Amino acid sequence: MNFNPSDLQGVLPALILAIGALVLLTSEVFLRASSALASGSGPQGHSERPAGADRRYQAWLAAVFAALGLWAAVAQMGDPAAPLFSGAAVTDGFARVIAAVVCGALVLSCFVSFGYLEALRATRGEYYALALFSASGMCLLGQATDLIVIFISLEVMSLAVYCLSAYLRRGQRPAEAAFKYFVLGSFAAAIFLYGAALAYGATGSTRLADVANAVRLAASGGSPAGTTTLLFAAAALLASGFAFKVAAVPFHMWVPDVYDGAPAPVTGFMAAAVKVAAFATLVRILVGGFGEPSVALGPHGWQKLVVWLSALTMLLGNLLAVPQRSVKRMLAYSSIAHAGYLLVAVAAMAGAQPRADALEGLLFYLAAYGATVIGAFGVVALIERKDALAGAGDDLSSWAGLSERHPGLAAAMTLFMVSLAGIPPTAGFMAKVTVFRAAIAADLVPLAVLGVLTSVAGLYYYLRVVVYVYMVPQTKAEPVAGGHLIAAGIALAGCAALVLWMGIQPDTFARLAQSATTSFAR
Amino acid sequence: MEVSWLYLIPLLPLLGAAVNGLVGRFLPKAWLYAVALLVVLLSFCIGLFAWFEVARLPGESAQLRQLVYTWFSVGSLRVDLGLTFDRLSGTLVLVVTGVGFLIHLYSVGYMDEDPAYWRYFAYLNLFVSMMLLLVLADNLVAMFVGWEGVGLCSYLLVGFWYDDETKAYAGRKAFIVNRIGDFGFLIGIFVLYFYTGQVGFQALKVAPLSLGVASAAAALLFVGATGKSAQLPLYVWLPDAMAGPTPVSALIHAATMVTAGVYMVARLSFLYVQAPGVMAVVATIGILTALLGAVIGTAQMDIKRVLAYSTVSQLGYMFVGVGVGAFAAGTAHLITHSFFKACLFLGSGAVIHGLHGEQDLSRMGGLRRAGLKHTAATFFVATVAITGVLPISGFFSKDEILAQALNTRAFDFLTVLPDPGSPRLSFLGPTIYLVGTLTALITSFYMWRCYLLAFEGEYRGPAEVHPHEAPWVMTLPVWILAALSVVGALIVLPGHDLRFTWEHFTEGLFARTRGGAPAERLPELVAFGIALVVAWAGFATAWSLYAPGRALEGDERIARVSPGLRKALAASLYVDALYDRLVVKPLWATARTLWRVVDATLIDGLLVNGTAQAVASVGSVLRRFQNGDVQRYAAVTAVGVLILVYVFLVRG
Repeated sequence: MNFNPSDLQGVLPALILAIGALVLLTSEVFLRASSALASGSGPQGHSERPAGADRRYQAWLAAVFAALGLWAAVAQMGDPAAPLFSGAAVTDGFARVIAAVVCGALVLSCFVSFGYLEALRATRGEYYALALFSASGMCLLGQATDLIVIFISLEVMSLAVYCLSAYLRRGQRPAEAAFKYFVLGSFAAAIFLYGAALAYGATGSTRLADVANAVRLAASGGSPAGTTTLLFAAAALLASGFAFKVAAVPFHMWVPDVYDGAPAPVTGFMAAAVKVAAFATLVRILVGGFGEPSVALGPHGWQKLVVWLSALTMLLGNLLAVPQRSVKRMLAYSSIAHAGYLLVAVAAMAGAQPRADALEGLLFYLAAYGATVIGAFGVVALIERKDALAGAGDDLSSWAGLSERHPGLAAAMTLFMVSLAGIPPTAGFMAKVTVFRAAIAADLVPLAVLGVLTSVAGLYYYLRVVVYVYMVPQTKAEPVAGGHLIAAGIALAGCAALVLWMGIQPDTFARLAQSATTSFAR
Repeated sequence: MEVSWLYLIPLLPLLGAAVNGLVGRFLPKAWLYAVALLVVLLSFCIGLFAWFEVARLPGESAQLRQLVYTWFSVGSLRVDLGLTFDRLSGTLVLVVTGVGFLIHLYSVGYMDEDPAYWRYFAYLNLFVSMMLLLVLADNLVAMFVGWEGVGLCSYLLVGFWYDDETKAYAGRKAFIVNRIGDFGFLIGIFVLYFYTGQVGFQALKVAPLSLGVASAAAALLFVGATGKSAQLPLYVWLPDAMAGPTPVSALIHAATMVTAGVYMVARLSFLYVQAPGVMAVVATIGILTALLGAVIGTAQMDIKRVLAYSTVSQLGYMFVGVGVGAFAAGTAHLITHSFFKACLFLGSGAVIHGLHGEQDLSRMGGLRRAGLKHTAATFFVATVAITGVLPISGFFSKDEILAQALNTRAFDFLTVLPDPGSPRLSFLGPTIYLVGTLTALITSFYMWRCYLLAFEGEYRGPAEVHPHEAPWVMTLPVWILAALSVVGALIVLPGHDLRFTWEHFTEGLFARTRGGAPAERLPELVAFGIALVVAWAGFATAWSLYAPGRALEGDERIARVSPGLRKALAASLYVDALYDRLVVKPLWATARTLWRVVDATLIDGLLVNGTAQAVASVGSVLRRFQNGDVQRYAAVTAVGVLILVYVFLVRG
């Protein structure tokens, strides 16, 4: 493999994020240890300065690096698509949109995390470094066109996220969640690797372009039957690996436990950004590798598979969210349900005709869901501060009467719930419209109908939060834990503005997504 | 001509509303007034500038356009937030901002002591902005936004004193009745879009429409107009809407918002002329509403309710105008009416202000000599205008409508029944003329009754209330409006060679009806003579019953002669009771039954709780898997993969 230094420009967002992570890690060396504060023994403020005050710059620095990454991705938006590192990766509009969404999510997450970590006296340097590392892996996932590179980027992202979900080392739950996530994630990675091996066996290459050629050959009947079978098995296993990451039923089992156990800002970041990267890779593999329409739509094609996955995911995700009393767990199941809606868009990509529309819908949905869910978990983070300090899980009752204590927070949460439920004039509504429209264009009308019906079921548990916030009188009159609400406020205002903007003026974002579809390198 | 500053006209009041609504509470009162008044005044100035531009441009091309931005485009549907300032919308912009400014100014005096004055001015600014959007919109969807926006402001302002249960109820009533109409309006938009794929006025103008589609769309849109412009059968909300502050009644429920339906029909004249049957319906509903409003107005004791029924009646005249194809006459009456009716309402506001909240005519009287000199004089001028005893604005604009109704040939080719042999509808125009002339007589009667009861004779109110004149911020706008009521006659003067008349000014803007040019069934001078005689007859009747010094004898005499009629009229012909009996009560009963049987038993019991139980039992099965055991999770994943591979490879 020839290394061409100018190729580095193509991976600029990932590069910036990685450099930022290294800078943060290095700077940590020069600071006083804060291990006493961060150990599992609980909050104790025996130094005069507020805990982690000398580490405040880290949040801002991380946000700056994330913003730089966002800027780099946006600045390259118009450039033509080009292969990088002799075909192992690619820089195209799709990758840039993915990088932009990931970096944007990271900026918002930094703001959400800042006050949360300080309130819990858990500010340590690795938090933001890990977030930056994982985001860097996500950007690479959006660009990778080689199964090996995909795997490496996947691990870069996943390992950092495993650590982040165990970040609050208090009590059993975080460790348990992270452990589960790690074990099951490794399991999924192994399945993915198995698929990659089969693909290599069938084609003699790990490049998606070569896989695509082999698939085309198989479609025209020009390859031996064994090779075709191998290719189909590879597709099933590769898809399974990422169905785990996107939390599709039946690979969703880890989601509720992990989302519940991880700190709320991390959960928000996971729900928004990990989903973006995983879907990006799923699209790269299915459309870029196995996208030949006659194969994808054929009897052994992946469309049918994705349709079933999506139907199951929408159904179970929504049904299981109904009985949840913990808002975090509800949002976890909601995240599963939303994976189902996103899979609708993936299923619509099988045919050649509606592919561009479906891709546009997918990207719009990812961005809309990301902005909404970071906001929602941002509010959860504010509510959770007190409970997390007390070591308890959150319950709907801690949301009662929020509108009296914090009208702004209540309004923001309402907006996010409305968007998740898919009610205009919010981003969630436009996202569902674009995705279902693509599904109808792809002749997947029953799937679109199921999507609409399950969204109606979703109203129940989303609006229940609103009911608690506005209509149930408060039981305990305590405000959210004090200190540094400004950063969280900025993040929430940003999310709310995005949610409304994408709902009222979707064209701006739709155009961006369109540019991604016109320069989607295959 | 494309311009880039048209958006400022609706935007400025919107900004004013935002400032007043968000931080108005914390601003010094003078600043808030300055913001609220200045934004409207600036809009007026920009409108005036644009109006002169448009007046300068020749005929057909006389319009300014701005595409503010593409609001949304979904598939083939593209909706722009586009504004069109032509001679019709432009003149209405001047009316809305001009009259609106005067009423803002008046409100400074009227609402000064209200603690929620900031909320009031925010709503008022928002209303002006929405009304301007409605008027300037160049497509149905943007118009609908303004349409709903003014409805919202109307609701907010009718129920402005929401801690009074009846006032809050009046607000709700206005909103709900309007919703019924808006539903029709919305379906009308859908029909047009479904058959043409367009929502823009320019595109719809040239789109081919079958008679059925045009009729359906026109009829449905007119349903919306009956709600917003208080026509039969949806007029019932307007009298109750008088619960709002009086300047609001003047601005929203007399001068501007309620005329939106008339404006809509005129704007869509190209659509309505393609549906002559619907135009007949519009004219018929209009004349019936005019008659009904006038008749009920004769027996009302609340000064504002007299004016409210008068508004209902006058709106009926406007619909007669646009219904018989005299779009210029209908819109001209819209403009002159906005002057004299705003003047009347503000006058009644000054009376209420001067009597500390008294609205009952029986406790007024003699106010002219009791100090309300300016108010009495302006009320007198406006009454002259509306009754037409002297040829000033109202006389000409109303008479033009009636003359056009008499002469119209828009219905000549229509038959009463679909059968081609059945009689033609050509009798409709003359009938409307006769009923309209009768209505003019009643109008003259009830308006003079109102004036005489309020301002002449002896003061009948309690002795501890000392009537006093309003401050200059309230009398000045009223005087300006009174002057406009006189000068407004200029634009409606008869004579086809006068270049400044409204008819001449709007030439080419409105579509022509299919029946051909109007016939002349009555010489113009004879028609004027009849109108004058009728107006004076109304005045004479009123004078004979309510002449100064007779106090309430007139009402008592009517009650003696025909007690049942008098009671029925005072109770607004029991229409509200009828609606209550026919619509509201059955709806409640149905709703209660549905709630008990369907919702509580079927849905809650069987479906919701049943589903919940089903979900719970499914959940409990699934929860066995979701028990936190990693091995089990991995096993489920593995089984999932196996099924996937099986489906992929074997089943196909």
